[in-house]
Amino acid sequence: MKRNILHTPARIHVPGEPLDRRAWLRWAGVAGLAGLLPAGCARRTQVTSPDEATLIRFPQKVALRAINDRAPCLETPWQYFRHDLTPNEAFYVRWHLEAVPTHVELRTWRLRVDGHVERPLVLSMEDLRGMESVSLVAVNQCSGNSRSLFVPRVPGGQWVNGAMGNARWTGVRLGDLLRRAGVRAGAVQVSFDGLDEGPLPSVPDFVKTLDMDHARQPEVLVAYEMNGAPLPMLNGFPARLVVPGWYATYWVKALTNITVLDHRFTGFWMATAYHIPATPGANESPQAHAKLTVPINRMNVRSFFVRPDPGARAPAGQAWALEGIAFDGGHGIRQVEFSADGGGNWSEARLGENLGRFSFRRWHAEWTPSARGEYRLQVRAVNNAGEGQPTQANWNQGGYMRNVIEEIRVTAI
Amino acid sequence: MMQGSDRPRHSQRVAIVLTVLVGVIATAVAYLGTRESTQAPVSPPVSPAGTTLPVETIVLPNDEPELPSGPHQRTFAASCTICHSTRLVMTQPPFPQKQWAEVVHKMVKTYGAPITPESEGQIVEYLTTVRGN
Repeated sequence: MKRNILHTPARIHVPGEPLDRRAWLRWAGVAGLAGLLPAGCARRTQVTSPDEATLIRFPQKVALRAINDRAPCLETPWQYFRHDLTPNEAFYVRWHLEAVPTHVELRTWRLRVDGHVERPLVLSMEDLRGMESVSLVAVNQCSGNSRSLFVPRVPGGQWVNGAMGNARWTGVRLGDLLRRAGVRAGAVQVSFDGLDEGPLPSVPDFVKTLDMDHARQPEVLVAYEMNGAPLPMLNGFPARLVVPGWYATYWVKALTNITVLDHRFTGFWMATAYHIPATPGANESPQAHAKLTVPINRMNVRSFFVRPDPGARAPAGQAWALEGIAFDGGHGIRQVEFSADGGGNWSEARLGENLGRFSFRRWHAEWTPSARGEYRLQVRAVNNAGEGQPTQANWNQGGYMRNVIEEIRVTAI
Repeated sequence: MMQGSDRPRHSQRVAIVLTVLVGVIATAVAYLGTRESTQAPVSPPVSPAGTTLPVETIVLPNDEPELPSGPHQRTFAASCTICHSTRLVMTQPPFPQKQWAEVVHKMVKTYGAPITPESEGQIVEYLTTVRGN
């Protein structure tokens, strides 16, 4: 088993490849049991799933797909996307720097708002909770979600599709904090820094920025609750930035410093890292990389199946229940369609409850395969700005922003 | 006859009640035992207003995979696992030597990985051996 973990890269489940039912049940059972154990009881924290990705237990978390142990990067197993709100204990984890916070005392934790302001603020959690609170549902998706599906493959965290989650975030508006501090004339950007640190002085501190206009938007929050509970430590306890519609790289965790700048920030994590080609669909050729790049920003449109499982088998001539999720960068989802013939004909799915324009939008449909055989099920969404999904996968060297029309293979028997 | 059948039932009931009681007491004793042994005798911090403030502490697991053997494995381990676990490397797809060289050079140039030019070449050789194509 150990050799298996060592020598086998996390293999992607090939759509249409049938899952061995007994292996699946065995894995699901082990994963389920592990989820019930308190963190201290789980001596062996690793189990291997049928698709050979290692599942690993971290504190306050159920068994998640191991991408990196240090800094922790853990992917949400697919079945959790059958929930509208991703459970906190199953919510994916992504840190950059080795020294992640493992101990936080609210007695001493403070959020500083300073820089180019009239009245620098030093706020305790009680101060934050004393301000007007706001709740909204928003998708948090890693820029590199689905990187392992890029062809040709690219280096980096080898996520499949589970580096995302949907939660109800509660906290204060960033704009309210900025108003309290009194932004001075000439302010250009706001920078955000948290408790994480590199193991060497040479490793650039993880600092992100938003332009002033964006920072003032009412949906940008400093959140201290996630799905009605304090944030898990690995998701940024005690407070994190929430930037609905934008990739998670901006959602700085374990936030301690908000600094208003009178100049553009030039730190590594904005000037160099997380850059995408300045081309439609962030596309570039593996042979000739784009010359011009920009910092990654708003999320593109995506849609997925959560039912049936890839490789599912069910009777022909009977109705199958199809279900999935769709989301975008904040315009909201207008339409979801599915195809059962490889993209020739498309049928409209029913949209579920609208939890807000930044949330997952659930969709449902019924489909009756008329004859036995293998089918390619595809799903595509369009948002309220008329943006859809491409039929050809986009490619860039960072492995960012995949949003091709997704497909699963199933068999009618 | 009624009395005769009543008696065993009564004693059965007493036995059940006693068993349940013993069970509850045993559970309580066991629970208190665990509590005493796991709870540190420290009072939680209290805010000026008198409410309890949580202290969050987690302990990260240490289950990183062992590295496959290959040339300069020790140089690789000494230089590269300062910043990230072995798993991040072992879950990468195979890349050609040229691409591994770019990745390793980025670690030196961008993140200041303490790697001499000589060991940089050795690390690329190790990666190309265990994750090359």
